[in-house]
Amino acid sequence: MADQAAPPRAREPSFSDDSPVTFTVKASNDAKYTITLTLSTTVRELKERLSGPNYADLPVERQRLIYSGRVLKDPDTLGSYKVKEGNTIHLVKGAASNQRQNPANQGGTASSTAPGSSAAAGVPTNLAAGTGNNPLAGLTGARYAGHIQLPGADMFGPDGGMGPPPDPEQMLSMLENPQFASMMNEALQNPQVIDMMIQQNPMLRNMAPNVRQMMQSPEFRRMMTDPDTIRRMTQLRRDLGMGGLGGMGGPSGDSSFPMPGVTNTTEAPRDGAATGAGSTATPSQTDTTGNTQAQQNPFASLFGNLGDTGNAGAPANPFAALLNPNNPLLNPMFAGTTPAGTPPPAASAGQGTPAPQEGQPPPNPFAALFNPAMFGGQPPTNQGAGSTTSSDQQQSNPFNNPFINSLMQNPQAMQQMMQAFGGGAGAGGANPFNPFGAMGDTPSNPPDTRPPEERYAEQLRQLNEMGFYEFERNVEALRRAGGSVQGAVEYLLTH
Amino acid sequence: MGAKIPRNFRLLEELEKGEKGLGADACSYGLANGDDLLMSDWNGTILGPPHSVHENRIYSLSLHCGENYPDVPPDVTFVSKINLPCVDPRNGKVDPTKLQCLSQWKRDYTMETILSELRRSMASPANKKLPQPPEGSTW
Repeated sequence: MADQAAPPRAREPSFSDDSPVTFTVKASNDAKYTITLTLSTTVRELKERLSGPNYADLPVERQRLIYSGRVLKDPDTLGSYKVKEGNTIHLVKGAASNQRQNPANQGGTASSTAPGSSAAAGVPTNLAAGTGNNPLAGLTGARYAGHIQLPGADMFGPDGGMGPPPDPEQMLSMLENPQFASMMNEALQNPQVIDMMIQQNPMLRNMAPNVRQMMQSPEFRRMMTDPDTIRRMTQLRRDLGMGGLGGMGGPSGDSSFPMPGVTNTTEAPRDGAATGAGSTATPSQTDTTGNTQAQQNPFASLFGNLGDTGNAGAPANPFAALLNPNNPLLNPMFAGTTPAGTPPPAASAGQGTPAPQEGQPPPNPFAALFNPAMFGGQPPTNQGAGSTTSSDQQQSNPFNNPFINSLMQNPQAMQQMMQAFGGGAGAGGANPFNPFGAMGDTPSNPPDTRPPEERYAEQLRQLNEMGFYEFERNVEALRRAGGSVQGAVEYLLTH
Repeated sequence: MGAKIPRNFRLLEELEKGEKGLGADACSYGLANGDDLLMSDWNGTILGPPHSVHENRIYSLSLHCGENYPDVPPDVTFVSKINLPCVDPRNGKVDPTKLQCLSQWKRDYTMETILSELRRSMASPANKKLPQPPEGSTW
């Protein structure tokens, strides 16, 4: 008897300990991980596996596992808790230690100076997973709240960016932050982001392949993330006294939701245009010596024919140069895009400025295109340029890129582009060429006027399931997290 | 008895729900002893609701389903110390008269109902700021 009973009894523990069970680990964000482990696996080992990037990506110390009403202790085996095939273990985030873990983000610093080097990474590491509908959610997500190396919300004013834009100094200092640059860089490298930007703008959609190519070009990225370029553009804008937003912001003042810093300098030009003395020590506009102009305003040479009046003419019509009779090549294209109701006031200035307003320099969505850099590759337009600027342009020409050239010289493409821009400007909506605008979320999207309970229905449901019942807080958290449930939970847990 | 679901079927149902994690996310429950054929003694956990003093805490409870369950509610006792009006401060026992789902028990109620209601009561404005004993202490 004893002999017969002994073997199975002896075998039983080893049988149950070595046999693999497949169970589910359910995390608080509704993510589920199916894991197969032997019952002899300790809880600690399970946590270590869960800490991997394929799973919860949460440090072991912060994981709490709950099964059948019990908190699993690290040294115990799964067998001791009688985990069975098909069962579910709950994974809960323990109290947050103050250390924020986001090594991927910190590691990205170097890539700002060498965009190519991080290209292999492909998908930006800092885009939140789980936010399928909006690849940008991660950029504005609550996960960045309090992250030291990113600009805090306070730099956008007490209301987190809904108020007046940051002053140019602040903006530039932020642009110089390698962290930010690398973030932008990563974002622009992500085909998803580009796609989204294109998708969001019907005008861009029409010329999608070209746009994508262009936006994905490292030169474009560098231009958009290079503080120098942007500084130059800002300055130029100021010199020209234009609507200021230029290509970098929405064409009209109503784009009051600036992407971290970059987009919205609306106010600066209004005041700055008159004084010409922004905080970056721009020489005043009355300065008419050609030399100074050439330095501060690389365009001056483009307006060469206008001589001293160039400055006066420039604000309203940066196209003068392009429409310069010297350059017959480009003229027909622009003519083709003249908005119907806009009689060209002078030198067919109407194109660039769909609705010129007397006394107020119309915002010009084309400023980005008029980045001095872009003209480096344009021999025809440069003909009138003095030699003073040409070297300058050569140095700083991130756009000296065959694609742009071909685009510029291809009437069809150009026309498409003009339409896209004109349309964008006319609508007073998003500037299609403004990746930052898209990041800013509101102005470039078709405004989502649905009430939050509708817009976030799915996310709210998930939050409710997790036990967050306070509607108002949930909505607020979701809003801050850009619709990301994970981000919202983190926000809810820390506030 | 009629069409009423017998005790053991009910408890098996609840056991499966608990083990498979089909119920509410913030609560978990299971048999205290897997060999317990009568399925009388259960463990429960409640994740402290956010925005309360209980946030990030995990509370353990024990539930005892008597012979007449689910006609009568189970005895519910906190294993982790907690300061709640419905919990006896001496032994952690939940006072059935002070928790609505226990005082007005219905056959359809489950242990999950109880755990969820306890959690809701932790999060209620009246209770969410109550001073609590140190985390992890037990009765």
